[in-house]
Amino acid sequence: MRIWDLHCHLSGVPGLSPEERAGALLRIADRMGIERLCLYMGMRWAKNPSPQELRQQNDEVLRALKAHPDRLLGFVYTSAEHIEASLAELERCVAVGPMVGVKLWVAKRCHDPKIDPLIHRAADLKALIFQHTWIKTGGNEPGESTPADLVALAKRFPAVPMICGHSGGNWELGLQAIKDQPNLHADLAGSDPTWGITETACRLLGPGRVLYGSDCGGRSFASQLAKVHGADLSNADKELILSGNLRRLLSPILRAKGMAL
Amino acid sequence: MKRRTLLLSSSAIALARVHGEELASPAATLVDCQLYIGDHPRRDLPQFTPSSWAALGLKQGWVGHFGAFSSEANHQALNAELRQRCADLPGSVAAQSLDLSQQTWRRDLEAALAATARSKALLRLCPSLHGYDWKHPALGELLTLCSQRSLPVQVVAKFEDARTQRQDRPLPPLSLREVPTICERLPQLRLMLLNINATEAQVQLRGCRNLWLDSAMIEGAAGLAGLLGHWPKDRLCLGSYAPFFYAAALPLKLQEAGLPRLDHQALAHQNASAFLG
Repeated sequence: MRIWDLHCHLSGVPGLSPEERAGALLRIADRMGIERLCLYMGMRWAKNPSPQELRQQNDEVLRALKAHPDRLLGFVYTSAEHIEASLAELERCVAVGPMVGVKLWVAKRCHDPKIDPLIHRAADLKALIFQHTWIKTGGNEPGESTPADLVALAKRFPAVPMICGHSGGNWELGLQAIKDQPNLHADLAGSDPTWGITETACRLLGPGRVLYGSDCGGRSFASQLAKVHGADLSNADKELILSGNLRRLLSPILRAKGMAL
Repeated sequence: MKRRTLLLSSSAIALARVHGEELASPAATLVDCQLYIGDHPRRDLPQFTPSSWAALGLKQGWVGHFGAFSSEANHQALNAELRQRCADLPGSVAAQSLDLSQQTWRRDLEAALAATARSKALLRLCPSLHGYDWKHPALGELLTLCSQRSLPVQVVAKFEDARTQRQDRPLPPLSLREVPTICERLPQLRLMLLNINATEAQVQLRGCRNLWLDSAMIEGAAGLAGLLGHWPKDRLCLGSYAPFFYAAALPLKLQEAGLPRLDHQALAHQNASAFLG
């Protein structure tokens, strides 16, 4: 089965430069049979990055992409706290540069319509939108989106596919929250490999809306791949989750950029 | 409760073979130090069967009972059921339970020791679920007895990510602060902490020479290999925490580590054998 990993980072990986870290990540990915990695955010994270920090982190991802253009796919790191700067990064990294998606983290909750210009431009560029979400038992960060926040955003852009990062972390609640919003897709990454996440995602959303991702280097590829390899699903459904769905979602922008599918 | 069979895609095992020139085949070479049978208190989980055992490539698994998580458990009955079910599952080792907050713990300990005399067995404790910690006077007595009578002890340090637990029924983690002192006081004790993460191992448990860990909550890119840069190579074992976690993570973590053959074998089964004695 082909495996494309939706959710990888340069943090938590050995190496002093983006190029070294990307190389290390790929050597480990090779052991697991993973063909391509989507990469976002730099070597040192900031929860509420300044425009300068956004640019620096995107520069690091661009360096990694340049070193491994055939294996890595980049998502530009943006922030709803800095719309103008994020739009500029979108132009620099996606419209002009090689990136193919948009990453939104925890600077500002995504239900706020202030984010809309960013989504409009990303949709124009056919960039795939990834929004981190969690429902933390102890409470979210002030700017951290929940799956319900993402549903509010997705309702304003029903034709734009978006990814619900981590499926809300507490996936039993998160998957329920997004199941009736057809342009939302579930990212399996970044939570413990608790039995049932993948079966539940497929039951509630259908296998066409579920994507494998690891959240590596914070997580292991293994624990996250186990959610798919160990799931009680058909091989056809596993193929969709491991690469088919992501390839389908990325195909418009990859084709537009002349990049290999 | 709806029963399902635990499935492991053959693709997980196949991957290890495809990429495994320098790696031993996982087929029937692995020891899983943390498995469970019975009904989980909160989730409808699949049940282990001999076929799922074979699909995982296990030569041995240490099996506890989810019923032992309850503070109201009858451990005598649970352990009897556990031993019976392990007798029907070749390669399984009963990880028996007791609760030091119950008056009957000495009786349950004697039963565990008697079982050990007949076949391999060990003790698996859940102090934080049963309302006590390392400072409980009876725990010192129990661990001393286990050390003297060569009964290996597993202690579950945590049960679930604090961020995903139910607010009304939290599963508190166990403090690790006292562990180095206990390890120093009882150098002959065979003690394994379950569900430790890499940061806890490197920071709070550093220098604990006679302490074993399992892999269930060791994360990170090639996380097992990374931990072995900071942790003794003969003190780390494979544990899946299945069926609460997908069992497939166990062979995949070993594959991801990309260890040299000797280290691979140590993690796959040798360290576990040394712990069990």
